[in-house]
Amino acid sequence: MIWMRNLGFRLTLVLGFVLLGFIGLLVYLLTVNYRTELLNEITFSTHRLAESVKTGIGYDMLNHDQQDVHRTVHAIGLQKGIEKIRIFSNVGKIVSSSDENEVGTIVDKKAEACFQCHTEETPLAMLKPLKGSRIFYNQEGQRVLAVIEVIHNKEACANAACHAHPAEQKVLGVLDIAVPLEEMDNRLARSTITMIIGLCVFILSICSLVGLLIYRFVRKPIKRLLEGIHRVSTGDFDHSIPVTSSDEIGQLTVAYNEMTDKLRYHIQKLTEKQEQLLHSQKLASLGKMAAGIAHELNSPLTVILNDSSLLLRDFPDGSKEKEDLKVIVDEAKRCGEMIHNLLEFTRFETPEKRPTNINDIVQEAMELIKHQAVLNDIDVTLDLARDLPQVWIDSNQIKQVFLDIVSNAIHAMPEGGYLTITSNFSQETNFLEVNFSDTGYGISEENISKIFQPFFTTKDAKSGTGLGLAICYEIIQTHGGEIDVSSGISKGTTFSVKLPIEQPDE
Amino acid sequence: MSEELRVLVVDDEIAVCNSCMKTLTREGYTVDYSLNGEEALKKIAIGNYDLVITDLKMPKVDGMQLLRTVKARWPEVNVIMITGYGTIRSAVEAMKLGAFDYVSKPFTSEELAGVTARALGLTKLRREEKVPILYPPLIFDDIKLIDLENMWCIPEHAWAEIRKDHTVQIGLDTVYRRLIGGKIGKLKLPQVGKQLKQGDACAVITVKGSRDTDSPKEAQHNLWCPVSGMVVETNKDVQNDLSLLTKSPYGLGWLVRVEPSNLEEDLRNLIPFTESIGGRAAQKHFKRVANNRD
Repeated sequence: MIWMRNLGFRLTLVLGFVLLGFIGLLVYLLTVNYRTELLNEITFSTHRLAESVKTGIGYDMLNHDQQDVHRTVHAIGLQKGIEKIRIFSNVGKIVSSSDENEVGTIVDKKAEACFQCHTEETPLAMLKPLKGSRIFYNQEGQRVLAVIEVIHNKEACANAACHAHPAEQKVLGVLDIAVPLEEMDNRLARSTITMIIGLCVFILSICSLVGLLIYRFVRKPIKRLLEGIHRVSTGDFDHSIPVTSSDEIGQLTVAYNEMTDKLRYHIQKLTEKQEQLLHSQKLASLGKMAAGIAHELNSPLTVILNDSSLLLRDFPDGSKEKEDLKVIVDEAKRCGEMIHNLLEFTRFETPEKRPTNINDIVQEAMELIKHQAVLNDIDVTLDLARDLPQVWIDSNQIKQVFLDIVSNAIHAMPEGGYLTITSNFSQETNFLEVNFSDTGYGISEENISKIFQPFFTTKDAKSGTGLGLAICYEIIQTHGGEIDVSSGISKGTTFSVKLPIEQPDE
Repeated sequence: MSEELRVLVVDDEIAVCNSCMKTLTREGYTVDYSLNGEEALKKIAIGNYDLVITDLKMPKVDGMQLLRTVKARWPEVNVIMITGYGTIRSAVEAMKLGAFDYVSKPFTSEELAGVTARALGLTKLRREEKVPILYPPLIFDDIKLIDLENMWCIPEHAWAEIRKDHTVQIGLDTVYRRLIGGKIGKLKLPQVGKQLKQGDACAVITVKGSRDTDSPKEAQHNLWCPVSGMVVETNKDVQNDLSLLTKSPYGLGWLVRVEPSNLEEDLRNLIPFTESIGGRAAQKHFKRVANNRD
């Protein structure tokens, strides 16, 4: 049964048994002790009683007032709390008793009343108090305590007028008083039961209290932890458990929360990496497929281009056929270019990142393209921030990106204009930013979302560095950065390249 | 007038073979085709061809294998490779192994005509034992301008000189210029900033039809770039005076200068300039000049 496996239940059970064992033992010992003490007390008092009786009837015996002795014995025997009282002579004859039927009978030395003294050849003359007592069951089956008081032969007795006892006789007889133990037994029994009940209640209360404490301080928090762990195993890492104590359970809860946090973080990172990997795998297979298709396309395209360029020669200049064929030739060449670009795009190389000063790259790119700018009457301003942190980039690839952007800017200003390049570092985003602003004819709103798409161009495919903005986008993405554009028709264009500062993981 | 010039076109696609045949027949050559390398070899063995134009990528016996076999068994037969974009590197390597040149798909009939003309031009010169015509001119004050030790080349095609500022100066070989023949109509050079890979065209020469019936009516000649890199400068002077290409192809007639991006690997596909015809002649010439000084 499940509840039997419950830790709290088991602990409480064990506690219960242990308590039962120890306190039970204690109770038992106490009870036994109590009973012994009680018995001793009764024995003593019965002894004293016997002595009192002996003293009481002593005078009557000295006066040889046998009638008085009988009366006294009888009267005493009638008292509540006295079972029987009798006097034995030294030969074992019952000379007086509260039970008149016994009077005159002789008791065997071996009887239980006698053996204390008569076990040995010579009977004992003196009896230690406790030794003179015995417990037995009477005819009705009740427990009885009997005490023996020895009646010694005193001087006064030996010299008494009746001359009943010679002086050599040490012991004249024995006074035997029996008291019922029933009351004592009852009291004891009641007391024992009370104790046992008390014990049980006590144990139960303690166990309940402990059980409750365990539930509150152990089971409930553990259940919460268990639930939390179940949640984690099903993938829910957002669960956290409130810490309500600073004990071990509290520490466990803190540790659980920390673990969940870390798990969430790491699994998120792993998922991201996995997605990236899938993405690049997809790209790779897409790239392969594209490359394959591109290659296949080259052959039929060759036939088209070759044949149409040949055919072109057969028609005179200015003829309609020549014009039409020229279109075919040009379009076929354009197809070739597209395939070329596509293959270049899919054959993209992984960047070799090294720590670089971005301003150097800007300046190197400008060095290459500056006379083209001058030729096109473009005023270039460099406003580069000093002390920029180094950034981990592939210089060649980033230089290509910058060249491409500047080249586009130059083409956007055929009549001349201004080009401003700025660089700065943002502390809060931890990104380096390079901005290229031109005063060219701008990009329309409908085109601005498409400019990073491969093959999208608003100009003649032959100009430019040959790398579309699509490749620029890809390069910046692989560097973990961003490339944005803002523009408006006749308002000029600003390209913004952002690159992260932190070192790449691998 | 001209003896029969026999060309074999090898490509696994018949449409391509037919198309090439159309162009080359028009140029006056005798053309046949094969759809695979094995058949091609058989034909060459018995056919007495002057030129083999073969696709690089073919199943079973591919272009490179065909090239090696032809060069081994019939060294005087020129081989031109047909390449797609992805196999350009192999095409450059093929030239190192003895291919005459290559043409890149998709090509126009002018391009095909141009390269074929050059190849068969060489064949003709050999037949007529006029090959020395190809050697560089004796007027050679390029000695101040070129550094033979740091020059590499695609043999008989384009040269590359590694300068002290680590840029690479590129130009065409004199053999290439002479085989073009006739007057150059137009020279087109790439824009500054353009990224070139080894094997991309770094110059396009158009030749208009000439009265010389031996040369093609209209041809386009591509000069393949020996090293990968970004174009940092192009020669304005040569654009204005195309005769520099004939008079000083290694000096004043340089075409482009690039900032190399993959030099070490690119050099593996090139040979030292001094091992080419032009280079050997230049070396001899410089020695002579040096001796004359002393």
